[in-house]
This record gives sequence, structure tokens and C-alpha cells, in this order.
Amino acid sequence: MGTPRPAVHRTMLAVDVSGFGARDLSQQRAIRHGLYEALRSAFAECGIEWTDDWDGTYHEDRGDGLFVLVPAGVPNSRVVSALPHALVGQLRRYNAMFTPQAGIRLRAAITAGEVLNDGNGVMGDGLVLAFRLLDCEALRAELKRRPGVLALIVSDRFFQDVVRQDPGCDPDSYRPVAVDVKEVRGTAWICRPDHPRTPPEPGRTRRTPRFAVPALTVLLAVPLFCDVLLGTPPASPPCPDSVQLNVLASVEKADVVRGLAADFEEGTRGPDDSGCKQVDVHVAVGPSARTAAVLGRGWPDGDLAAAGPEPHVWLPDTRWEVQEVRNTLTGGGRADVALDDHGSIAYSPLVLGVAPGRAREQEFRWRDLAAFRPLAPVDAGESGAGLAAAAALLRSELGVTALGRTTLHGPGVASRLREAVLRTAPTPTDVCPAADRAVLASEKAVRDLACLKPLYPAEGTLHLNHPFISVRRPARPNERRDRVVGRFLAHLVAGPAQEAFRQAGFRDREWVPQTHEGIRPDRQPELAVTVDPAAVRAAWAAASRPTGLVLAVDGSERANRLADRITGQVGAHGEVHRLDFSPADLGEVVERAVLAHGADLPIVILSGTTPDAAPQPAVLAAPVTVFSVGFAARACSAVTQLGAFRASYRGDCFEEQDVDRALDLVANGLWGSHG
Amino acid sequence: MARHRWLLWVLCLLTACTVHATDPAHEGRGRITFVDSQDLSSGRVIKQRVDEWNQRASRREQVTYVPMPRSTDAYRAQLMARAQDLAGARDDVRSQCYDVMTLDVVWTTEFAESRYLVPLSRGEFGTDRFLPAAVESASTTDGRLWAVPWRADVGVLYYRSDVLTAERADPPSTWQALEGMATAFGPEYGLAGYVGQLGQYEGLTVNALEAVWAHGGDATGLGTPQAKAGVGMLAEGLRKGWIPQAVLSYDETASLREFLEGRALFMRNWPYARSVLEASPLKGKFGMAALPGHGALGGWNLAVSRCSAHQATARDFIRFLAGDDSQRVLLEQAGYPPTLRPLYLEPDLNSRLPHLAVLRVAVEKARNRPHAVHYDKVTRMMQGALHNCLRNPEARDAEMDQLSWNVAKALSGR
Repeated sequence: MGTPRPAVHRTMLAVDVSGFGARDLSQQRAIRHGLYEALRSAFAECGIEWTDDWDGTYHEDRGDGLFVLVPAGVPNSRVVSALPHALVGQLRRYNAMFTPQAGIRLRAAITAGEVLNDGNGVMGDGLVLAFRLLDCEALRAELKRRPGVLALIVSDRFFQDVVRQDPGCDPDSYRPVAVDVKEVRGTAWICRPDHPRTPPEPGRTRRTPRFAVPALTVLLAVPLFCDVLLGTPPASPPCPDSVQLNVLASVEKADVVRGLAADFEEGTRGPDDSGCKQVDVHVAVGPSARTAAVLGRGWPDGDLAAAGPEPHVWLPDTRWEVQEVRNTLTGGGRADVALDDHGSIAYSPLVLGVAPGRAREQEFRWRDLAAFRPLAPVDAGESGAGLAAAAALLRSELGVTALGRTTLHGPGVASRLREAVLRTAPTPTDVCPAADRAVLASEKAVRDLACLKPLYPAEGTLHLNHPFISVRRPARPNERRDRVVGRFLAHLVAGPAQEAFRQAGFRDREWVPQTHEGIRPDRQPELAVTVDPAAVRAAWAAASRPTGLVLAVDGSERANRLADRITGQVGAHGEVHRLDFSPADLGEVVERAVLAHGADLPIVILSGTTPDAAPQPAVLAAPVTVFSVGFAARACSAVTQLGAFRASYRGDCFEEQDVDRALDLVANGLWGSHG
Repeated sequence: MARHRWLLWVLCLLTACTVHATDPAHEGRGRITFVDSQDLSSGRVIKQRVDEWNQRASRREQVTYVPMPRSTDAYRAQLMARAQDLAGARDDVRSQCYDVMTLDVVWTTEFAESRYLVPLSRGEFGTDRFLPAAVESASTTDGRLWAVPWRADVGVLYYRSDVLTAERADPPSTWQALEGMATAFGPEYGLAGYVGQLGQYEGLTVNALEAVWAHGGDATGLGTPQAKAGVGMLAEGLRKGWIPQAVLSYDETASLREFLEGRALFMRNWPYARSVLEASPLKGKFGMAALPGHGALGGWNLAVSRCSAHQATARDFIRFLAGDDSQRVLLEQAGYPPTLRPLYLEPDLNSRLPHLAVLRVAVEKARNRPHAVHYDKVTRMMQGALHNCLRNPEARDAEMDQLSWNVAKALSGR
């Protein structure tokens, strides 16, 4: 397991929990967790970061214990003096929460030697020695005889080279013991960091009895033989808890990401089937407008119920959405959330899906879009793909390269935005099998609609660039999770995952699609357009308002012409109720309209004359919206009837003779996004 | 000298054994955050309880209530993410701790064993007054208590009382009797015999375990004849037709709709359905009884997070929420079954809520789903195998043997 590594000289620490096998499984689990925590914290106290890589604190689990390689460059004296003391402190803290039976008492061995990884595992003399020392009877007896949480043993070589030379390592607190375990015979040195031994009084040296060594061998041999004879397999130790990773994906990617996340989870298990899952991935899906708003607020607790758990990885359809959130965060002066863009994991161009019979070629021009109406309805707030479709429609209608607050506001724009919306159908229905409408969507979405074939824009199109965004909170760093995020990214850009994206209908990071009928393999040129998502969404939503309205016309020629134009702009997206009145009855028009059609519909009054305001009838209780167009000069001044309407109700009054401009003004009132 | 050394050793030993390193947060008091799955009860009773506390408590010990996503997976994902972020965090970050967490009975062990919770004292919370099964869901095998049971939930049987009265039959107390009535009366009245939750999700685990328990089996021995008989009964019911095939895709909402619209004779569901039925045209025509056999225990426990800096306030708040007064209010105004046993015996409550007696029988008999640190993995395993057993009865023996082995492995911690 692992990448082969050439031999290096490293110092290593091996630990073994005393009496591990005797506990029940839930205790074993808790102990393993506590052990890892204690080691991590102890290393941190000594200024050594706990990592998983070979050059850092590479470590491998041994069920009831583990070994750790100390990074090169850490002075050995620190390893043998500061580290054990820090470890004692951490273990004591852990044990304080438990009864003595449930606490951790550790045997530890420190050696130095060559280690290498031959591709199947780590090996080396120093490692073998460390484990032999760990198992020796003297160390076990030491922990049995005296209380305390840690018994440390070092090899003779280590003692002579490191400990003896440095008074700071307190060499006098060590006592020599004889070791004879398998191929290791000789002397080693035991120390109790939490119960230092008083130096022996001169003249009272301990002498190991002569029969100790053979007795040791026999004693050690017996349990080994017994194990082999009984053939009991080692008990599988329980799993440490897995890291929680929350992923927020766009609607289009939800299925493929869920599958890849499950594969990723399984892949974090150990080599055999009984390995432990190291990561728990939760994949959520949310509408892009809400995601952008909540992320821009820092994903506060108050939004959790509605928006779901805080994401650590965000997979939107487009980078515009990411920029939008970044702008909101900086605008609000927030630094509690940081977004990092790690590149695209897939691509999808925006295409037009049409019924196979409707186009001979595989291309279309944006200006000919009207020929394919009706298009399926576009929702700019649901996803980045919807946003791109709305942006494409707005761009082709307005002919601008920047879609933002300035270009999407104002009287001239609203009626043209409305024209763009009118290209789409008012209500969503199933596109297949009827294939009675065209769909402006991502290539993946069109491919999923098997009854349509994709047409590609000749001049270029908008790209959905599917970025991988990691969401960090600098105030609450979590290095374990950051590493998992990195592994997840690596998983998504690796061969098998990219193949999964292709199979799902996306293009991979090299823009290569799966070979499929109707799909053009080449990369589409990108239209140069800047998109302000919030402005586009607001403009599109305003222009899409399903408006029924009451059209009050006084019968003049200009009013009739304008009325027809307005009716055309309502189109199939609303109902127009016509109300004809004579100029003398202008004062009662609003009342009549509300009586006939209720107060919810806006009332548009087109009047060629300018009568004075009649004595005011009672102002209607419900809020009514009235837009008036007066073709005469000063038609909206305060003393006139239309001016009185403006004063009493919502809406506005326009003095405009030119029908086109009048239409723009009314459209802006009905379908413009304001602010 | 030797004698003194011996005394010194004894003293050292005694000190080591008796002095505990206490965490100052254990006695800390201050503002706390309380999280719970979104309160869908009419009248938002839980929010009211929090407001009640905030009125009476000092300004220092105010509680902020944060409702969490409704979906179980999403709620759990958020709790885990926050707990992991704050494990070992600096003090200034601890204010983002969810001090009091409401945990589903099936996650409590997992959070405890991941050391995100603070152990609680049984004496301090009077656990002997709570339902034993609920307390068990909040304890680990070493006997320590990690949460206080708060709201209980248990599978119950709903039946068409008008039909049973007309047939002069009492609600069935065995599955055999239930099957008998379903096959006899169902066709006669044009009703499906029995509807439950056999779709491939958590509901299936619950329904299947209830059947297994009723036949003397257990989740730890799914390969035994008893367990297979339990699942076999459901499969047979589907084959014979007194359980409609459609039930294989039902969840709580779908089965309730069938029963509410008058198309089923028996329904297995949770207590919440009772108030929905009371407000429907079926009012007066349905009854609620304990399931034949043991119902599955559901519900929620209250726990203190290890990251909390104000654990004394947290414990007091838990005592308030899980106390007699609050549980009474939650029962009467929101219909949440209490976890305190004495409440089920109060004459006052029983006279106002006639169904309380049935609830009592059901909760006292309730059993826990298997204790597992990775419960979600265990239940997914069970759902897949069990759904296949129900769709393909010939596969039952092989599936359940394999499932039994897989579950044993998963329960051992893999």
C-alpha cells in the first residue's frame, strides 16, 4: 500500500495500548479515537504538525496501536523528552473523563533507522526493532508494576547516541533492561516520563538473575504458539469517526455528483473490505439564486432550515455565480467565508434543442432565434444553466455585451426584455415526447431530452464552466476536512470520474464529449459577454411577470393603436380585459375596472383628452395600480383627472404623443425591474 | 527511609486516582444555542417553550433557538460538520457551538462515541422516571448517559373502528388475527387490508423490524427462522394481496393518504397521524391501538455538546425542556408523546386525552433499532436486502443470511 519510497533514515515512535484486546468494542473505539487525538495534540504541542504524508508524520495503524515516523529535521532530543511529556499530559486529560478501566495506558518505543516503502508497505530495521521493544516483557511488566499512563523504551543505540549525550533528556531516569524477543537480543532502556525513577543509591545495582533470559524466551514463545494453535484471527478494531463533507451541487450535476461522492466514500476505505470509511459525504441541491444569497450572508445558522447544511464544496454551473457571491461578501465587508476556485471539473455549452424536423443544419444564428418560438420557459433563478439561457436571450435581443444594472434598466429596455420573454412559452410542460417547443439549455440537458436534437450557435455560445469551489471559514479552520476536500477534487478530475461526467452528457475538462449522435465534438467558441447574475435574474423575473391587465381605451385612434401594441406585449403570458369608455366618463374608469375585474390587475388608461379632475370619489381601500397615458400636453398635471389618478394610486402617468415611446414607458412600468 | 517511600507511593496513588482534571466549561453559565429539527407543530410549541425560558432566565443565560433542515440527512450533516469544526477549537470560536442539540434516537450513540457530547449524570436527570427504551437509546454499553430523552415516537396501529364495530371485532392483538380480519373484511367493505411503509427507505427498516420482533426475532440475528418468518409474513401478505403491492413504494404520507381517504382497513403509522385523521372526514370512524408485538421507538434526545462553554446553563435548559411541565405542554398542544412515564398515568391528562392509554401501552413496549455508530450504513444495507426479500420471496433465505452477516460486521464497527 502506498507509493514506493527509497530508504531514508528516520526516527520513529511506536505505541501500543495496554490491555486493548480485553476491552469491549465500544471501548476500543473510544480508545482509538482518544489515542489519535492525544497524539495529534502532543505532536502539535511540540511544534510538529500531524499530517499523512511520507515526509511528515507518516503513520500506520496497527489496530491496538500505531507507529509514526518523525519528520526529518525534528531534533531527536525533542522526540525523546518533550514529546513523551506532552503525550502524558494529553493522556491524563483523556483519562480524567473515564473510569480507570476505560482509560489509556500506553507502551511506547522510540528508535531510529532506515525505513522504506516497497510499494506493499513500510519496512525497515528501525521499525522491526521498535515493535520488538514494544512487545518485550520488561516494558509490559513496568506498566503493570507501577501506575502512570506511559512507559517508554528506547534502543541501546538510541540511548547512547541521543539520550546519554544530552542532560536535558534526563538519562539518569532510564534504567537498562535486557531484551530478547525473536531476533532482537541485547539491552534497551526504559523510562517512565510521568514517574521518574529515583537514581539508585550507589552500591545497590540491580542484577538480573541468570535465568531471566531463557525464562523470557519461554514466556514469550508460549502465547505466540497458543495464538497459532488456536487460530483465532485478530479482532478487528472499530473504526475512527469519518470526516463530514457537505457538497452543494447544481441541479444538472446532482445525479452524477451523488454517484461520484458515493464512489469517493468507498474509495477512502482501507485496502480490504473491512477497511474503515474515512469520509461521509452529503450532497445537497439548491436553487442558484438562493444559494448565492445565503452564501453571500455567510451561510448563517438562521438560514439552515430553509437552505440546508453549510457547504464545504460548492459546484455551481457557472463562474458568474461565484463572482456574484464574492462581490456580495466584499460588499458586506464579510471575511468569515472564503471561496477558492480550483478550476473546472466539466464543461457544457449552451445549445438550442429542437425537434429533428425543424432544422436541416446543425447550426443556427442568434438573430434567427425567433423562428424557433415557442421556447420552453426559462427560470433564471433556478440554476446557472437557466441564468445562461436568460442571458443569451437578453443579449440577442438587446445586442449588448454587458448585461448588468445599467444595460438592463430604463424605459427603452423593458419592452425589449418583454419581447425576449415572449419568445418563451408561459407555462412549463413536458417537452418530450411532444417536441412542440425548442429548449435553450445546456448541451447535457438537451441530450437528456431524447426527442430533441441540439443546434449550435454559429457565432459562439455561452459556456457553463462548472467550477469546483471550496468554501472555507478562516475563523474555524479544519485541516482534516481541507485535506478531504483536496482528495475529493482529485477524485473528480481523475480518469474514472471524468468518464462518468462524459457519460452523463457533460464535456470533460478537455472539452471532450462522449461520442453521441448529434453532438459536435469540437469546442464551441465563447461569446464575449459579462453577466451580473443578480441584475439578469431581476430583469428576467420582472419581464416574465404573468400580467393580466385591464386596458381602458377612450376610442381615439392613437389610443387604439397603443392598445394593440400593449396587448401584443402581454401576449400569451396574460389576459387583457378591454374596457372602452367615453372621455366624459374618465373619472369613473378606475371604479368600473375594479368592479369588473377586481383590484389585483393593473389598469392601463389610454386617453387622448385632458379633462379636469372630477370631485374625488372615495379612494378605493385595496391598493390599485394605474398606469395612464395622456396624448395631450400637460395631460398628467395635478389638476387633471389622470394626475389625480397618479396621486391616489400606485403606478404612474405619462405624457407622450409618440406611440412607440408610450409603449416603452408602459412596458417599463409593468415589466421593468426597479432598483 | 523505605517506610516513608512506601507512604509516599500510597499518597501518590490516592491522589492520582481521586483528583480529576475538571473542565471549567462544566460549570460555565451564559448564552447558549439550542438546535432542533424545524418545528412543524401547529402553534410552534417548541419555540414557545424557548420563549418561556428566556422570559424567566437571567439576561446572561438566554437561549437562541436555531431550527435545522427538515431532511434527516441534511440535519445530521450540519450537526456533524459543526461538531467537527469545533472539536478542539479555540475559545473565541466556541461561541459558534451548538450547546444543546436535539438528536434522533438512532444518532445519539454515534455522536457520543465520536466524543462530541458531554456525559450526563443519571442521578442529576432522574433517568428512572423516563421510558427505559428511550434511556437505552441515549446510553452506551459502558452504562454512561449521553443525552436526556425528550420526545418519544412509536409505531402504532390505526384501524377502521366503524368496520370492526359492525363486525363485532376487537382490534387485533396478533398478526394472525390482523391477517384474518384483513382477508375477511377487506374485500367485503372494498378496503385494502393493511398499509404500512415498505418503500426502500428508513420506514422499511422500521416496519420490517416490527414484524421481525413480533415473531421473536431480532436485528442481531436476521438469519434466524424467527426473523425470516417475520419478513416472510409481510412478503406473504403482499403475495396474497391483503397488503397491496403499491405499499412497496409507500412512505408515511402515502400510507396515511390511503387510510384517510377511506381505502384501507388497517394502517401502521406514527402517533402524529392521529391528529391529522381527527381533522379529516374519517373522524369518529378510526381507532388507534398498539401494534401486535413491539413498536419501533423513534423520537429525539437532548444532549450537551462538548464544545459548549456554558454547560451548566445547557444542563438546566435540558432539565427545563424535558421536565414535567414542558412535556405536558408538548403532549397537549402538539401531540408529541412524552418520555416521562408518570405523565402517562396522570388522571387529568388521561381524561382530556383518551388516546393516552393506548400510547402508554405502545411506548412501554417499544424497542430500539440496532445501536450502531454508522447506523445510516446499517439501515441502508437492511433496506436493500429487505426490499428485495419482499419483491422476490424466493430470495428471502439467501438475502437474510447474507444480511445477517453484513449487519453483524457493520455493528462490530466496520
